[in-house]
Order: sequence, then structure tokens, then C-alpha cells
Amino acid sequence: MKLFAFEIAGEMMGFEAGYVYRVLEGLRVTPVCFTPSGYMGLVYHRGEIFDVVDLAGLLEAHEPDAADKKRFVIVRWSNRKMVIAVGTIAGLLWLQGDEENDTCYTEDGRPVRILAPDWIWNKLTGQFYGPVQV
Amino acid sequence: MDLSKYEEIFLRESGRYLSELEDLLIRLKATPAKSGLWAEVHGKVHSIKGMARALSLEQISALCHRVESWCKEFQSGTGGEAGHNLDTVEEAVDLLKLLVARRGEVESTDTRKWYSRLTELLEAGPATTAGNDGKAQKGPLPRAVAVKPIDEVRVKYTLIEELLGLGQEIQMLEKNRPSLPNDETMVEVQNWTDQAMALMKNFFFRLSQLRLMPVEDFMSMFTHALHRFSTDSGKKAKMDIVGGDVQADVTLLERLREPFLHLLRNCIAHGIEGPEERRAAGKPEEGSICVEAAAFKERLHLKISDDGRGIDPEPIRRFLKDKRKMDEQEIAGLTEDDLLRTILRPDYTTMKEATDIAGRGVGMSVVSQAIEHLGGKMNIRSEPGKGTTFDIFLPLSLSIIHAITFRSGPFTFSVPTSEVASIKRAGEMVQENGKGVVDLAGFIARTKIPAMPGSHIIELKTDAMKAEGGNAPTGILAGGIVGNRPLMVMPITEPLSKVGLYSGIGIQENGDVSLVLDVGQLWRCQVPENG
Repeated sequence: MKLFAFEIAGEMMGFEAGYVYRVLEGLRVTPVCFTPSGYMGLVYHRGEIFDVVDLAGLLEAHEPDAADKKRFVIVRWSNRKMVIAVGTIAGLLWLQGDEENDTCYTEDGRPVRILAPDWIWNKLTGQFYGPVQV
Repeated sequence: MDLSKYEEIFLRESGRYLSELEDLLIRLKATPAKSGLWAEVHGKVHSIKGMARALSLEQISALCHRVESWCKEFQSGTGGEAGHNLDTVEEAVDLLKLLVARRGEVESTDTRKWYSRLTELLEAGPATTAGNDGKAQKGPLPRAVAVKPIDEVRVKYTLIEELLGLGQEIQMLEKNRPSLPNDETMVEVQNWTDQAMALMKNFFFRLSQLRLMPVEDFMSMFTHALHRFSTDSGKKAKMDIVGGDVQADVTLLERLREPFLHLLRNCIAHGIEGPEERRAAGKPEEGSICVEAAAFKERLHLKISDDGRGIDPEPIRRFLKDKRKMDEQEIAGLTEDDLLRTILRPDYTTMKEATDIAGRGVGMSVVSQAIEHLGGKMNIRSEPGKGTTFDIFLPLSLSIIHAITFRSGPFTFSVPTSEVASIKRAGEMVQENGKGVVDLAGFIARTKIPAMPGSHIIELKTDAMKAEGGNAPTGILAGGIVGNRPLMVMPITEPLSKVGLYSGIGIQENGDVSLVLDVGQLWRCQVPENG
């Protein structure tokens, strides 16, 4: 399978390249009040609104420098869309595997965790949103 | 009363009626004795007269009134041969076009002469015989031909989308703008690029509004279809539009085109009765279909109602019993809504044979599926003998509101201006009855607001708040006011709908994003009694 691969907190991850619509830099993300940590905010791009997912936050992975999240991947699948903020993009990899097996390996044996957009979306929407009284 | 808004509607509506009148006059030339066509001419002229009277455009209403008198004579057959009088009516329509474009002003001497001559001619009544040239003896003198000034052009929607894409790309350039050295020349270049970008953002905001179309314009596309459906089935029906100035995204309306045609077809085929049946029921011969449009939060509500025979529940019960194998008890247990929703089933039909208008048994299920596909829903209400109403609720993918946009910590919010009572500096705020002000940034509801420099209290109108337990906040603490500006509102995304406080996502003129607050839900940020 052709994987769009990137690194989150030192771990190599990726999803099927066919879902990637565009990769952008320097987007201004609008933070949104009353959202969980995996939800980074909103971007308005070419007349469309996208939810931006902070994948490291969503996976509770510790990233030493969150300011590195300067690249934004627009992902489209089924009737859905989202933007995933990532730090380092590894590029496109051709690897043996499929979405059923959640890990595949590079030629040098490095594991790559395969993420399905639906899984990311369900994890994002499954969290608590709303005001919490302090 | 804001007359300018009404004047705008008058210009738009009259323009449409006059264009339809031209079509009718062409058809009348082929069949001048057809009284039905004269009735249509009469109806359109009458509508222009009504609107002109409301705006005190006396010259227009007087001219319309005279044309109406002629129409009545030809409708009743007392006007003699209509054919050779058509030129006069045509000339009156030309003059009306000129007068409507000039808001009823008879400015020039030529126009004044034209107006006087034509009104005299109309006052004298239709000529009974044709002259040597085949025209009426009292026929018109050489006349000026009015040509409508070009104030609209047709543009392919795909071009607008392409322009929007390009506009956004140019905005993106700002993000990658190289920093310039701080010398005198470069400062000028910097100022120049700043100004260019500001203009570009404003241009893009205005361009985005091209995606919006008044519901009235959309509905007017169906006037001819409605006329054809009713004449083909030997019925009479008119369509009234209420709230037609509500604007909706053209892509949404385009997807509604086919379902709407189905709905109108069904209204005529099953709802509106024939003239005799209507007379017997004490109704006017002409059936009425009313389309009401309203925008609420991020939803478009379209109500289509007719004054026809309503939906007879008996055939539905028979269908459920015979085809769906439901027993009497199950059918009796259905709510009225559930029973009526049976007509949305793909296999439901009451007609034994299909006609050109309806009866293939797929119409209403197609309508229902199309609306669901658009993320909307449809409710049906019906009263036998009185009529049927279809309530369609659709997501507005785009709308424009005026809103107060403000910052609160790192967040930017907007509140519709219509829901704001006043804006005060925080220090001037007086607390009453333990009710407080919500500070969205801190997730904290406070009853005592410290006078922070630059902070404001946005006081909400009391009717805007649907207080739960009488403890809803009376205002919102704003760190800084961005402004009271038009805002392009897009629907809230699925994750953010879970917050329960936002009614839409606002795009400001400069492309910045804000969250539009649903003030009716602010009670969710309950104010503790002791702050």
C-alpha cells in the first residue's frame, strides 16, 4: 500500500495516501473554547471550514516541541474531511500491509503505525466537548 | 418602515412581471381571443399596480389601472376583437418598463407626452375595428421603445467558484510574505502590500456573497411550471412567496430544484381541486400555493402550503393494511405524523394510472430522500378539506449576518447584533439579582467583574436568553471588541456541535474565523450564586 507517512513524538505513522487531498504550510488555526486536547481548532481554506486535529494530543503522545506542527494535511474520505496537524513528514512509502493490520514495516525494519481516518475521527468526536464548571 | 428594501423588492418583482407580460403578449398575438391569457395579463398588471400604490408611485399605478380595464373587457368578451388592440397594450408594457426603471418618474418632455397620449388612448377604451393597416383606429402614434438598462449579467456558477479559489490562493500569499528590511523604500513597499492585501480580503468577502441567491428568485423559476401543471390538469392555481428575500447558497437551492418540482406537481395533482369542486366547497376557483422562507440560526425553513383538499387518511390506512400487512390496532396506534409520512414511502401511490403530472408513485419518496441527503428533514401536516403543509428544514451552508465580534482570551466569538442590548465598559457593569456575566475564556462564570482595561460587557437582550431556572447570564465578558460587522456564517462542524454553545462558524471580511454563540444556550455556563 502507498502510505503518507509522518512522525509523531518519534513514532512513525501514516495513512493511505489516497486520502490525502493537500498538504499546506502556515495555516492560521483558530483555537476553539470548550474542546478537548486533541482538537486544535478551525481553519478556513478555499471557502471551506475544516476541523484541525492535533494528532499528538489525540494520541496522548508527548511531543517536546508542539510549535513544530507547521504542516497541515487535508484528509478527505467518504463524505468527511479534516485537517491533521503534523510535525515531520516522512513522505510517501510503498509498504506491504493494509488497514486491517495496524502496523507495517519499512525496509530497514522500522515500524509504521497505520491510522484509518475513520478511527481518528471517531476518537476525536468521542471525547467530551462543552463547558466545564470551574 | 424601510422603504428602500421594499423598493428593491418592487423593482425586482415588477421586472419579473414585465418580462412575463412580454411573453404573454407574444402568445396573445397568436391567440388574441384566449380569455385565459388576458386573465394572466390582468393578474400581473394588477400585481405591479398593488406594489406601485404601496410605494405611492401614482403614475405607474394609474397606467396599470387603465390597462387592467382593457384586460377586463377582453376577458369578458366585451372589448371586441382583441387582436388589433394588442399594440396599445404592448406599448403600455413598454412604458411601464421605462417608468419602473425610473421609479415612476416621468422626467423628460418626450416621456410626459408619451404617457399622456397613451393614458388618453387607454381611457377611450379598446378600438372596435381595425384600421387599413390592420391596427386599431385609435391606434398608437409612433412610439419610443424602452430598453432596460443593463444592471445584471448572467455568470456561470463554476466561474464564481473558480474566482473564490483564486481569491483564497492570493490570501495564502500573505502567510508566506517575505519580511522586508526596515529602510525607507521598503517601508513604502510594505505599506503598499498591506493595502493590497486588505483590499484583497474585502474583495474575497464580497465575492463569497455571490454564492447567495434570494429564495424568491429561486421560486420564480417555478412559475411557468406551476402554470403548465395547473392548465394541463384543468385547474387554476397561483403561487405566493413570503420571505423571499432570505438568501441561501446557490448550491443548496440547485439541489432543491428537482424535489421542488415534484412537490409542486403533487400539490396540483393531489392537493388543489378542480374549479367546480372548489366552488362547491366554498373556495375561490383559483387554488393557492404559498411558499414561506425563513432563516433561523443556521437552518433554512421552507414552508409549502396549499389550500386544497388535504390528504385523505383512508387510502393511507388501506395501503398500510393491504400492502404493509398492519392490523387495525397498529394503524390506530400511529401518530398523525407517522401516518402521513407513509406517503413518503417509495411504494406508496393512490393513483390507479400515471399521468404526465403525477401518479407514478415515486414523487414524494424522491423529495424526502433528496431532503435527507441534503441533511434536512421534512414534516407534513394536513387537514382534510383545508389543505396540506410541508415543512422543510435544511442546513444553510452559508448566510450573512451582522454580528458583534469580540475576543476573550485566545478565543474569538461573535454574537448576532440583533441579540445584543448594549455594550458597556466592564467597570460600569452593575450586577442585579445575583445574575452574572459569563467569561468564556476562563470557563468561569462570574458575578463580580473587575474593571480590566479594555474589557467590555456585552449585555444581551432578555428575549434572546432562554433562561433555565432563571439563572442565565445577562451578558458576556469580552476582552476586546473587534467590531460590529457583517459576518459570513457557515454551519458548525460535527465535533463542535457537541459543545452545544455555537450556532455557526463566522468568517470575517479579513478571512479570520470566529465562533457564533447561540445565546439561548449560555445558561449552560451557569452562574454560581456566590460568584
